[in-house]
Amino acid sequence: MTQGEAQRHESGLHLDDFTLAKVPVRKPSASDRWLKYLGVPSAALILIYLLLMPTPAGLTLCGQKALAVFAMALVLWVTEPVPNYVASLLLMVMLVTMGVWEEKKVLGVLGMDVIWLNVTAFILSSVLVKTNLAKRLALQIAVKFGRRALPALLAFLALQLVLAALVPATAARSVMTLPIIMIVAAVYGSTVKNPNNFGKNLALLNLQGINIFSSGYLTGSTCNIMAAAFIFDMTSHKVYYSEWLLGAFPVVLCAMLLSCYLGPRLLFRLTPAQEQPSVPGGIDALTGELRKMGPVTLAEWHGALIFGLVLLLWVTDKYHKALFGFEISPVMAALIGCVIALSPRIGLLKWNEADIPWHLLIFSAGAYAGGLALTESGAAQWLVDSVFEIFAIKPGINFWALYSIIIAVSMFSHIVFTSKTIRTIILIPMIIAIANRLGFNPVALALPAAFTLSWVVTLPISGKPNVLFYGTNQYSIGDNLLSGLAVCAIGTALFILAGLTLYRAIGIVPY
Amino acid sequence: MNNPLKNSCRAIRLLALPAFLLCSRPCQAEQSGFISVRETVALQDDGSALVRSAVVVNKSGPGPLMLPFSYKAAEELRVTLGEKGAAVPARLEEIEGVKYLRLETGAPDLRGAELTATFRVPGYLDWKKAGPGEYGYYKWKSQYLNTTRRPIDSVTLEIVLPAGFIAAAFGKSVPAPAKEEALPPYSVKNMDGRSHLFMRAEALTIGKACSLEYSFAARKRSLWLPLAAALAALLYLVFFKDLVAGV
Repeated sequence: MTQGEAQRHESGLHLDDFTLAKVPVRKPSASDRWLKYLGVPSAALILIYLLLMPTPAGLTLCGQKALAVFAMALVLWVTEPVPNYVASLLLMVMLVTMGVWEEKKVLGVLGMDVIWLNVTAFILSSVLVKTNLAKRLALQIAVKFGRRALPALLAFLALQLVLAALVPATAARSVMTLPIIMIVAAVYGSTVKNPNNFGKNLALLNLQGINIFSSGYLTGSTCNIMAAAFIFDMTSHKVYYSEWLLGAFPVVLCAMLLSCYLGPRLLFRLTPAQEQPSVPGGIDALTGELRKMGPVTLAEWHGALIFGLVLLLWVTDKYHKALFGFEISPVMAALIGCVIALSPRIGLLKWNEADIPWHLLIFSAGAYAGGLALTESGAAQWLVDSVFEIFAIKPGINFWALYSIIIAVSMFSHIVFTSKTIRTIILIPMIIAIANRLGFNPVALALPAAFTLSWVVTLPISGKPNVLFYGTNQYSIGDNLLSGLAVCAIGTALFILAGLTLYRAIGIVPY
Repeated sequence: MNNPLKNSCRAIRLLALPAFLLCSRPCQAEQSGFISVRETVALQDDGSALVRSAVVVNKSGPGPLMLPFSYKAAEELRVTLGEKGAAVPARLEEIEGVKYLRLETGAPDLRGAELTATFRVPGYLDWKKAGPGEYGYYKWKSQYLNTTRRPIDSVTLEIVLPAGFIAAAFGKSVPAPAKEEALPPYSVKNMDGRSHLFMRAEALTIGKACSLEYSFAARKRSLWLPLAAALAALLYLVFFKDLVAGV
């Protein structure tokens, strides 16, 4: 290693530190070791119990098996006695050998658009890393806002807030910011090989920002538009952009600010050392590093151009049909970028330089297979129905009790659904039907519930950005679960509070 | 492999059935329609099925009432007006290859009346053909075909599995689950120790069927997997003890 390389390693900005393709090895803490030790027996117990219990009234045998296998895998993912990709492979094997889902369908998950989007996202991220464009952007953020940890976290929050209004695709926002996040994390001493609490907070906050800010705007996610369409079709109430913004955005902003504060102060506390950049020489060294990079290079412009083209295709999806006569899906747009990036002469990347974490894709494929089996077998629907049944929703129920139940169910139901679209299709018409049956204004229940549809932050399989961010190795599935449940609990409380105050004032809730 | 000749014949049959039904004599004589049909098919251990068909009719003219009939044969046929009302003379009639239940209702005005037909269909479920296949699953298909001229507003087909069996999964259905619908047209309810499968269809027009493919398995649970899981957990606790050594 040359002296220069050694210095760059010390500064935490060596690009090799961001390699995702190799499975990182982490030293477990004492509690991690107990979790690992008890993980297999716990998973076995849950599997045995769910398999041997009498099949519930509204469930098929396949649904019961899907539930048992998914619950077992969930315990294995959280406690990590085996690597997550092993748990996913086991889940896939069990789905097939237990007759829950057809082999062709289980294996076909690896060809799903979400997996392809991951592959292309990692190739495009590699372009940003290789050309140093990600490093330049990260250094600029770090130099401007990075003297302390909290302002740096807030800067990313602001970035995600603005991006959510401009770029409707959550996966696109993830791909754009992922390399920058990783480099800023490294500035604070959190690398792929040695992650710390700053990296954990930064990655989880950005993940939450990407997903949750989508619910702040009507156009933030397709599921918002779909929910508004259901509300219009079934109640004749037209949900306007301004109504959605006024109803959802204040809650989203409060929740994210609370999460930004609670993460580093309560859930994953930052040590005094993690509060500041860990590079020798601090911010001054980073300023020097940025200066050393000089003006934007041709390669950086080249990378920005390829990425810009993909971004342009993503944000103009509405106009594709008018322009080209057909629509270019987000995956195809990313694939076009990859074709250019990997082509000789016009591209920037060789295949060996593309940093694709296949272990993560295998994990995702298994997890998606489990989630889809839950949906196809009717087990996910049954779980939602059962929750409503447990709360004994009958005529005469107090409106606010029903409102709180509906908000909580729609907020947390993402744990068993891997698709926001399916959740929207199931929940919104069901809520409108319940409201009509009980004689309540359906909009008063369905619209606040629709505000929660994008809060998919609890598991790495809850959404496309979740898989991408999990690949950074900055946090475990347990960390994701903990922070996700915390922010969803905050969100539920805030939506109930908003119902009692703001929504009454603006007329969403007329009670 | 696809046989083009076979496919063509099937297509011709599909197209010809509605045309034939429109022209057939019973339809021309009929002055009635059906508001709803609820057909319960209880599968028996011997392969027969006990069928109970509750039909809300909208008849306002003289002459017999022809009910759609989707089976090969009917034994012990009994039709009543309402659940336990007066018996209605009924017989199975086949006109130009299409089967109907011919009811001599007598009263010309039966608007909103419910007729209940019960009968046994021998050999409804061919156990050998049904399975058991992979994973011990039996596969079968049940359907309700509208052989009459008028659309039926709503059809519910209920299949009650034999005692000791449980619904495993749903296969293809007609109508198929719609993407924009919250719930698929089929559902399951396990009650009174039996599995009840429900399939619903709206506005069933002439020659259209409400059908459901399903698989079911014996209720008796295999213990090999729970035992294997328990053994794996035990072995893990023994061989991975070092994980928590010194913690």
